[in-house]
Amino acid sequence: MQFDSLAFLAFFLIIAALYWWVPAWNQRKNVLLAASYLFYAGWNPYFLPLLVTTSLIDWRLALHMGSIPSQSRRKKWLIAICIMNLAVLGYFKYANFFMDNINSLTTFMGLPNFSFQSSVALPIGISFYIFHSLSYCIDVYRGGIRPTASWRDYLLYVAFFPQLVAGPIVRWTTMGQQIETPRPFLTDRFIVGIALMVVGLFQKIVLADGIFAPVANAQFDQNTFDTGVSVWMGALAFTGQIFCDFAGYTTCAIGAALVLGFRLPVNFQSPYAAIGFSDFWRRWHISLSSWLRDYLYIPLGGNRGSASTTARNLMITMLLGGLWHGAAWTFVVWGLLHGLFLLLERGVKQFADTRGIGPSAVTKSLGWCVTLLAVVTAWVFFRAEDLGSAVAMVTTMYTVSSFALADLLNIDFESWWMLVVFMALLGQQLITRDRPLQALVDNLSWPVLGVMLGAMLFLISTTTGQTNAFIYFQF
Amino acid sequence: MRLFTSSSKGGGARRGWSVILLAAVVWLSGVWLYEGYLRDQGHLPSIIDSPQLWAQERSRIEGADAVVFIGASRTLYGIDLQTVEQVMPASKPVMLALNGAYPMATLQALADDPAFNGTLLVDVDARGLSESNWGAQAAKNQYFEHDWTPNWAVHRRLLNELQRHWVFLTPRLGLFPLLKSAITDAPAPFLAHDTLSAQREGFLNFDRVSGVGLAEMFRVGLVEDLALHPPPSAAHWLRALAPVKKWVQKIEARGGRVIFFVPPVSGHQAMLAEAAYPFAQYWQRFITEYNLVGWHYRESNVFSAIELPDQSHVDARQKAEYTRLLLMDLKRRGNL
Repeated sequence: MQFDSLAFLAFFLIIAALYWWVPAWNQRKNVLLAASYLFYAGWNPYFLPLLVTTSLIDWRLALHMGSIPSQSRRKKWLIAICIMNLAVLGYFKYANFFMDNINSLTTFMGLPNFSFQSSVALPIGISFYIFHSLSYCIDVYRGGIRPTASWRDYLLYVAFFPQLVAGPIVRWTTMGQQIETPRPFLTDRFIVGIALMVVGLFQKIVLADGIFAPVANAQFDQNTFDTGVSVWMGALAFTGQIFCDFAGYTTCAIGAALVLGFRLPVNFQSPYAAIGFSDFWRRWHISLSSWLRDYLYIPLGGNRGSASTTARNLMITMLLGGLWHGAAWTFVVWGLLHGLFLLLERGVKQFADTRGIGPSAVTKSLGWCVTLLAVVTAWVFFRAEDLGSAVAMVTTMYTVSSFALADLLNIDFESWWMLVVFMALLGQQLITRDRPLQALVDNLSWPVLGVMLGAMLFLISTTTGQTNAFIYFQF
Repeated sequence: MRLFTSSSKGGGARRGWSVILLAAVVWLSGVWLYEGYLRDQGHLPSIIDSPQLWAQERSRIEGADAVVFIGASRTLYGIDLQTVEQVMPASKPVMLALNGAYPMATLQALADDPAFNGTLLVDVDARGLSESNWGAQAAKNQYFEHDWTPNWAVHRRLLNELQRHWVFLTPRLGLFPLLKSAITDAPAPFLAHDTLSAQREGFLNFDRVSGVGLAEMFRVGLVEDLALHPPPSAAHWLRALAPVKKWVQKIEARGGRVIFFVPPVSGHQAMLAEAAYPFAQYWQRFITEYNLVGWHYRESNVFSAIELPDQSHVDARQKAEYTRLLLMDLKRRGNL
């Protein structure tokens, strides 16, 4: 189900009412689990058995692994679990990509092609729920958590519908205690949850779909990228779209969970106000970047070795992070670009340290501008249909001769409007750089908050254009 | 990992419920005022066509009793589904015609769908049969194949109920198009003369629009399109239609049947169509040489009493009669 559908609205009203009406905590959890599977089946019921089966197998294997005292034997079980999960992810997500590239290679070498072509659709949210399971199993292996004896609790942890298909990627350390102990009904929490759902829908429907997507689509869907102004408009529009789309989803997810008494991790913290790329990754899709840090980068060695080892670990992590988003070279390049940015940042910091250059208003402003420009440029690779289009667009963006005053004067209403909203978004993120959304909401007086939410609902109701799937649903 | 926590200060349940109440008042007042403004301008509520609405009907084609209409606007706004049920008792009419798009992609998709074994009425003229027009409905079929989910099925049913009563849910009457027309020199949203039912049955009201003006607009559009896509030679055109025969055979092999028909047009529409694709050289040869079931308005005089205000479409007040005449003539000829 999509949060921005009337089907979800009806579903959520019924489920929330039923959940709080049922008296016993165990029964409430049963309601939530059934609702989560219904939510998933709303997209494609045929993939529900895959979700249930992989979850049950992971739970059983992790339970067994947790009972083994020997570290080396536990490791064997962990390897088996990882292979199983990654094989499922690999088959559904990367098989066609892999075979296409093998065939390109065999064609290049004059060898016959393989005839493999999977027509299986990508199960929605597979990258997210596989990562949920993997983090649980790795934490059990490390001894950081005790495996739960309740299969129902584990299934609910993996499938909890607010975060099932697009995150945030939660860990058992966050959710375990919340699932095991009854959630009290707190009016404040309930109302903040509703407010967050409204804010999330506003971000998705009004900003992402209504203002940014039309300009971004108009640019990225065409084949010619000859004017710098229009390509920049497309790149900025997508920069706004992907934030509002993904952050909108996450805000809805956090809100829906709060209505049900659960707290999910913060996933975005003004990412376009980041100064530096490591700062960006501490603010963008925080649950994924921390997952990659804890379960990939640090196990690879992190920054404990030589400079070249650190660079290797960083590039591997970012490459796989890019590939996690999708089976295409554009995502690989996007990941590698961010890896490169992080390496460059380390170099610049070391240089500044040796020269005794400390942070100042000038260096911070410069750092923010460079970070934003690089992030916007990298988004072109993320969104473009193929690498050729992305390279053509970026070339146009940074070629002086592709700019003409006439192009600036011919910008259409939609692009101007998008630009105004994009600037407002940047301004908001700079102002709220170090203050979470919660603090902002807390500081508003109730009449202001009420009017703001009412206005957002009005704008949502009168922006009933094309409904787009959440971008992160495909990952 | 930092968790999102609830408000902790200055709050209390009372403050919280006040926020919700105020938000609801602001929202509902805004919507009420906006709805009133749109109605004052003369806009009417209508179900709005979309890939989801089309897919909703596309999912109803199963069963031998299905009578599926595909084509473009003349069928969408011309066929009265109640009359179909009266003339063909125990049938299940399904409207898949699309405004402004020829139906060949849908014909192919239905041929490839083993679930379809009903009756298919294909509204397509010689121009629509040209290969360059085959993809016109491809996007809708792709949406149905890849993006149509139970979630959207429920969503669309609920949206139908809301759109039936509220004008502000019409996308082109949203706040942004209105703001655009107020700020720039873009025209204000036009007053539509068409409405749609939840079953995708269209209705045209020519009291709200100039039929003569529309006829001229269609004439200009057709002249431009013919200049852009000149008709292929009859021989080439006919050869390219060989796959169509195979699609028809696939449906017939499952017990279904396919009837091609060309609804009436008049004035410039008729003259330009005949000049570009002469009836005897194109349509007639397509039907006879591929041994298909076909009906062309030129071969029948049943529509002599039907008026086409824009030379192409029938007013909603005449569509029941229009449908009855078409189906009865098809029956009389043994095609239905």
